[in-house]
Amino acid sequence: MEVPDEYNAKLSMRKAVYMNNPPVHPPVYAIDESVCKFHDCEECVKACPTQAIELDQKPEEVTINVGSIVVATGFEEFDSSTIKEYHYNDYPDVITNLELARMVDGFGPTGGVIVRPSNRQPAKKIVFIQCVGSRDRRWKPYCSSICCMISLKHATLIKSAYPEADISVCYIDIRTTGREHEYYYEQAREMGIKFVKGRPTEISRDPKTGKLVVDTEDALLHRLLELEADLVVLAPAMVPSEGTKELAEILGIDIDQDGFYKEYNAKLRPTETKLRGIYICGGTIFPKDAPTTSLQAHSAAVKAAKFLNKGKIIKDQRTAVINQDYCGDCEFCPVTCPYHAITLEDKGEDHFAAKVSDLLCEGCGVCVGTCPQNAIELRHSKPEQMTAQMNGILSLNESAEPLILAICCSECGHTAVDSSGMAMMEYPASVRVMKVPCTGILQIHQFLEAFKAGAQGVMVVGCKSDGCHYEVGSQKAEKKVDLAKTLLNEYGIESERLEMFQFVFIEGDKFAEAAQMMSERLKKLGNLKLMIGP
Amino acid sequence: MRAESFSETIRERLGGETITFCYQCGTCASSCPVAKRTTDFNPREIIKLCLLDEKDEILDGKSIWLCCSCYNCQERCPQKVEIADVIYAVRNIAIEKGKVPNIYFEFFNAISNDGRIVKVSQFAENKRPQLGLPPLQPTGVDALKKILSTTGFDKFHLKKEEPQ
Repeated sequence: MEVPDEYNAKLSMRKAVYMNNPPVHPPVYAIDESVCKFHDCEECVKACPTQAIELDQKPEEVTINVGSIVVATGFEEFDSSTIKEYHYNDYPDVITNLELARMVDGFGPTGGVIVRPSNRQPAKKIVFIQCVGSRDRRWKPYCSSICCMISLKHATLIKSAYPEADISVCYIDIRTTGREHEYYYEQAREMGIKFVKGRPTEISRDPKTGKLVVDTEDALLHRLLELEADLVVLAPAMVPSEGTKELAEILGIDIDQDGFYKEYNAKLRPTETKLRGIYICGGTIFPKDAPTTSLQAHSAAVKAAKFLNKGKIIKDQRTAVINQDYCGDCEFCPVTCPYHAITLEDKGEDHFAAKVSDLLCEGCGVCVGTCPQNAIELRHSKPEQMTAQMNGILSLNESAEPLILAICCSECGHTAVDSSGMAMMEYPASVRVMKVPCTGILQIHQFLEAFKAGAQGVMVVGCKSDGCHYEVGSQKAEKKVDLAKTLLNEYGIESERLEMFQFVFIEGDKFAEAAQMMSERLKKLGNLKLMIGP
Repeated sequence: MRAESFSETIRERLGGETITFCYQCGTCASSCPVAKRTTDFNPREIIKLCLLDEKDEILDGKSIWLCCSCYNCQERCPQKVEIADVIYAVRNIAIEKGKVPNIYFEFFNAISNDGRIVKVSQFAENKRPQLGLPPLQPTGVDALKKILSTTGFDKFHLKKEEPQ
C-alpha cells in the first residue's frame, strides 16, 4: 500500500509504515491507521528484529505532574484555497512556499529539481506571490513578517542552481528587517530575479496548454501585466497552529486578536503568560524567524528553570478569602475571576460554595466587588480596613478647599498620581489619595461611605478599560460608578460629585488636570448636604 | 481651524470612509475591466491622487467618470477599501462643484422629463406584447419631480446653462 507523502508535499509516495518527519531525531517510524491492513498482513510484526511493533496498541491518556509548562506549539500556513481567485486547490501548479521547500531540498522528492506537479516537467518560469491572506483585512490583517525572506531565499536558491530560470516576485512591500536580510534582496536583484510591485488579482490557466497566467499591475510602471508561469508559488500568511485556542482554554492563558498566545508584557516579559509557571515562545506568539525563535526558547527555558529551581513559590499574602457562612449558590465570582482562581465546591444537598486557590489568586479583588453577599474579603484590604483608611485621610482639612477622595488603583491609577508628582505638577492639596489593589474591588456602598466620611467629591482613578492590569477591574468599576451616580441622584446628591477617570500610568498631567477640574466643580456645587450628619 | 484636506473631505463622506486603508498594492487595477481597455482609468491611481490631495487633477479630469461600477476591485481589495464607493463619493463632490461631463446632463434631463434614463423606443414598445410582456406603466414623473426637488437633485440640472 502506498499513499502520497504529506511531508514531501505529496510529490512522492510513502508506505503505511513510514518515518513521519525524517529530520527529527531520534528517527521514529509510525503506522498509518487509515492505510494499514493490520492483522490481515502483520508482515511488519514478523520483520521487526526487536519486536517493537504491537498492532493492538490503543490510544491512552496519561497524566503527568509537572511544575512548569512551556508552550511552543508554533504556527502553520494559512489555507491558501480560501482565496478563490488564486485557485490553490484547483490548479496543481499553484503551490505554497512550504511545498516548494521540499522541491528545493537536494535530498527531497525531486532531488532538487523544480518541477510542475501537473506533469513533473521542470518549471522554467516561476512567479512568487507575496501576502496571500496576510496584510488582508478580510483574512489575516497582520504582516506575517517572515514570508518575504522565505520567498527571497527560495528564489535565490533556485536561480543559483538554474540560472536560466525566469523568476518574478509579485510583492506589495518587500520587508527585510533582520540582520543581513537586506543582503538577500540585493543578491536576488543582482542575480536577475524580477520584482513586480503589485498584488495579483487572479491566476488563470489556459485549458489547452496548462500554462498559468498571473494577472497583475506593476504599479511603478503603471502597466498591467499578464505574467506567464509554469509554476506559481504562494507565500501564505502564517497562522497559529491548529488547536491553539483549545489549548489556551485548557491552560487558562489568553490569546490575542490574531489568535496567537498573548504574552504577559510585550516589552519586558515577552515569554511569560499571565499565569505563573506557564511560558510561551517562538511562533506561538507571532510568526518569527529561527534566530528569534531560538532566543525566545532560551528565555522560556531559563524562566521555567528559575521558577522550578526555587523549590517554592513566593506569593503575596494579598489573596481573596471566602466567608463560608455567607457564600452560597451563586456563580458570580468564578466567572468574573480573570485568573480562574475560584472554583465551586459541592457542599451537598444541591448547595455549593466558592473556593479560592491561593496559588492562582493575584489579589486584585474583582471578586470582592462582584460578590452580592459580601462573602469575599481581600487580605489587607478588608472593608473595615478600607473604611478606616478613608476616615483617616479625610479627618483633617486645614484649607477651605473642598475635600476630595481619589481612590486610585495600585497600577496605572496610583502611578499616574506619582507621575504628576515627579513632573512637579500641582494639584489641590485637598485631593486625598487612597490606594486600592484594583478599582474592581470597590463596592457601591463605599462611594457613599466616602461622602459620609467627609468627602465633598470622589474620584475613582483606574487603568484604561482595555489596559487594566487585572483585565476586567477597570470596566467593572466604570459600571459601578455609573450605577452609584444614579443612586446619588435618588438620594438628592449631585451625581457630578462622583467621577471615574481612566489613565495610563504616565499620564500624570491628566491626573493633575482632573483633580483641578474636580476641585473647581465642587467649589461651584458648594457644600454637600447629607441627611445623616457626620 | 485648519483647512480640511481633500482626502479628509472624501473620508467624511458616505462611501469615502475607507480611503486611508489603501496601501497601493494594485489589486484593484489588475481587477479592473476598464483599466484593461484604457490607460485613462486606474483605480489605484485615483486613490493615490486623492490621498495626495491632488484635488484639481481629480475633479477636472475625466478618470472618475470612467468607473463602470462592477465592484470587482472592491470585492478583491485586501484592505477592504470601498474603491467604487470612494469614486462615487468623489463624483458627488465633483457634481456639487458643477464639474460634470456633459453627457450626465442628458441623463438628468431624461430622468426629470421621462422618469427614465433611456428613452423607450416605439419599436421596443411594439415588441413587448410579442414577447408576452405587459405594456410599460407610466413612471409617475410628477412624484419623481417632487423627490428630485426635495433631495436637491434638480438644482444640479439647472447648471446646464453654465459653459462646460
